[in-house]
Amino acid sequence: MTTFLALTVLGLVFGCVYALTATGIVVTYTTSGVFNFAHGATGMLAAFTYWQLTVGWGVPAVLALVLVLGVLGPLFGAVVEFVLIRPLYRRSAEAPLVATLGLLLILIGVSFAFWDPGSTRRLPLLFNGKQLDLGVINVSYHQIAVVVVTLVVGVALRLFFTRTQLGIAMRAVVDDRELAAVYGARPERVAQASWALGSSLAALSGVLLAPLVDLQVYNMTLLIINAFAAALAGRLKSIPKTVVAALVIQLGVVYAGQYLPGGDKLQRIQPSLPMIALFVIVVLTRQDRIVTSGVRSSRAPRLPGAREAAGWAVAFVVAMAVAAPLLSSGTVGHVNEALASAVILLSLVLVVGYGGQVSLCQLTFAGLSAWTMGEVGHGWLGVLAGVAVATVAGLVVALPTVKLRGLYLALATLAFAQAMDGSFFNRAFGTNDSLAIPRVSLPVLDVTSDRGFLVLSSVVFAVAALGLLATRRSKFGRRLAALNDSTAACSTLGIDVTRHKLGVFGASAALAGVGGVLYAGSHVAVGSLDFNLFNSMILLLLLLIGERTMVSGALFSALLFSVLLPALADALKNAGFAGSAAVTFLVTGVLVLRVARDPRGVVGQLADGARRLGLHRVVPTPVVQEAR
Amino acid sequence: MTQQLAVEGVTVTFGGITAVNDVSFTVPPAQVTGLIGPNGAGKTTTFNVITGLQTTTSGTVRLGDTDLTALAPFRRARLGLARTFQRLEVFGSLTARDNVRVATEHHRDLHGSAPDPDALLERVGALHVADEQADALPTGLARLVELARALATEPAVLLLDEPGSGLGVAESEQLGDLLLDLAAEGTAVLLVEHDVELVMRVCTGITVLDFGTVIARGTPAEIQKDARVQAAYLGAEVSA
Repeated sequence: MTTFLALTVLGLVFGCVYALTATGIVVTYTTSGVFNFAHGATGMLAAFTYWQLTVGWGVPAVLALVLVLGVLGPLFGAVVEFVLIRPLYRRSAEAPLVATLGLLLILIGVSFAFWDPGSTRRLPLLFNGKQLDLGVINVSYHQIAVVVVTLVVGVALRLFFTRTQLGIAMRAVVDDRELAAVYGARPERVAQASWALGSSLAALSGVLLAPLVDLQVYNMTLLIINAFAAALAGRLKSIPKTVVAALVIQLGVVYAGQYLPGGDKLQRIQPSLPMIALFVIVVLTRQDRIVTSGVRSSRAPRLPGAREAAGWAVAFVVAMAVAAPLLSSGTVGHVNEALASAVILLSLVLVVGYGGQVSLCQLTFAGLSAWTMGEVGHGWLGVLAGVAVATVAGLVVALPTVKLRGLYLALATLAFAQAMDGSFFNRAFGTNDSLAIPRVSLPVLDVTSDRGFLVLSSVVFAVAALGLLATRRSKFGRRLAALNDSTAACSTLGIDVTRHKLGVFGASAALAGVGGVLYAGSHVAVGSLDFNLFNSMILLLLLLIGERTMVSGALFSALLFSVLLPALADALKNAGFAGSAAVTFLVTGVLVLRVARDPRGVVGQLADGARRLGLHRVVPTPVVQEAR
Repeated sequence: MTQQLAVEGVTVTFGGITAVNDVSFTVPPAQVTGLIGPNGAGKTTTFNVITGLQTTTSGTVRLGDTDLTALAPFRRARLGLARTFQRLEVFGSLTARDNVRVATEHHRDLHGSAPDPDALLERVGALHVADEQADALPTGLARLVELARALATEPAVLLLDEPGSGLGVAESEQLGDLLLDLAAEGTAVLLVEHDVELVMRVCTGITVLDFGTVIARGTPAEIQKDARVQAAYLGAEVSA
């Protein structure tokens, strides 16, 4: 009984924190129509700021709370809305998705830059950790404060939305933005106020959560992301439903940790339960009907001819073979990783560039493949098994999510990546230890040397690229472009949309699996961090920065990911900058904000420029247009 | 190719508003049937119900003896339904030829043979824009490309949602000829069109919708004289 009570208290306390977080997400989403992926990172940054003020600089807790929750939090939300979100209101549905994912990376980068991730930090509980003895169990004042604050915020929000002019205006904007504007509400101002409020709630949950857990960047960000499930359960609309869902999910999580049958094995999924809940809720509540959308043109480049492409592929492999002996061993390592990343990025070109889908779990497929190869052992059988497992995983994700698009597909794939990371990869690869994965052997090429492996990797990349281009030119490729432009028209031509989407996801996961095997080979040993959600996010956003529809875009992004950004981080580290881990996050996050305004990537724009100058035949078509 | 499409007692409600109310009509093979009515009468919703993009609250859609009501859109298409869209749904990133090719290639996969894309474009009068990207085409031509794409599936029933809008007088006349040819070949054509002249010229039977309800049906001559139809259209004009 004591255990049950203690668990109930724990579940309620965490449930309250997530209720606050999820409420923030709902408030922002309903008034601005933007799902803020950076909500968790906002809470994380607030917790770090609060730590800096109180522990770092000795500011009294009350003053620090007022500063973080009353000044910095709302100010941050208002500025983000004004600078980042407002210019995107009339753009495609993808734009805010890209912008808030970019913001998420920037906030993580900022935290790494200011607070050395190598050091440990703890925030003391509020009220100096004082406890109340309830006879059977002890409850800390901090825990009581969390519950009380949640109740107060709940009542305050209720009053705010029913009694104040701004609150009523917010509800009016939710109901009908245009109509509210006609009656004098200013939708932009109202949205800005809601972002300020949402950001404050994120900050509040961050500050309340941090003393209960480790104050680590990933840890805090991901814990707050757990609240996504509750927000989705409230259909991103209803605050009461969201609060109840948060409490139910967290109570479920703590009870599962204690009472779940099946012993150790089933208990391993306990940390991933909020993500599993998110996946299930999204799948159950967000299946879209096929709708007409007017004339759309997906971004599809005019492709190089088969011969031209083959010429480039051969030239690429020859160039790499010639360069291999000339490069330093350090560079060879980076280039090997870049080629593996490039193959994984090609898998994203297929699913995102050609298929018009979104995937935040591409490295999960790669990781599964690498792990399987490690388990099965040496040789080609391991490679085949790895790719097969990745393909099956791709189909398993695609089957329930086949009717999801945009935001909801992003959330479902995010949930899958994080659930796999939390309950499988951590253990399979070892949290800190790396799993050694042998390279395959070849009769004609010594791939045990890094330089030999580089030649193999460039051959694999070239073949994968040729395969991808051939696919795009094939009738399957034309059908993908057609599906991307109008699902409704395709279905009324007798094309089985589901089967094609499954095909794209399966093929893409298989290619990511090939990339995973190469990646493991390039590192010789891998760890769970290599395949985590954030790296999947970074790869996806880097591809958008490079160019999602072009093989050269994938190569460009891979060079950024594995060569240029690590080189920049190394240079900063050597210059004595402790926060060098921030580089990839900051650069990716900042550069991708451009993509929110113009979906063409750097390589795509260069190709456009070259076409205008008459220099090149391989050119992308104009940017996404949506008829209204 | 000689199956009749039957819409029987179809009702569609969107959150308390009835868009289509107990609508029944048939589209016999080898003739052009008109479905007309003022804006908002429920014509496009009826098209969506027939092709499966919209679920019904009640009622059935039948092709010959086959009940289509529970089938997915692609299954209905494979049984012989094809359509064009009032709000264009051309594949914007593909050329006009590839728009049609997507359909012919798929038809060939299913049936072993398919018409030639260029022949189809020529038949609708859009061959001269075969290499143009579809999102750059003027509305009238894009509608013809959609028509060619629909014909690529060699449909038993062809549903056309305002194919004449955006066309000039001569082109509209050619479209009328084409529809009559298709009917002569045995196709059941259902035509939603605001161009009254075109409708009166090609249709054998006409069903008139207003506020989601069938208010009249008959031959073009009968419909022209019908007082309710005149009132519905006059009312629409006054309110517009």
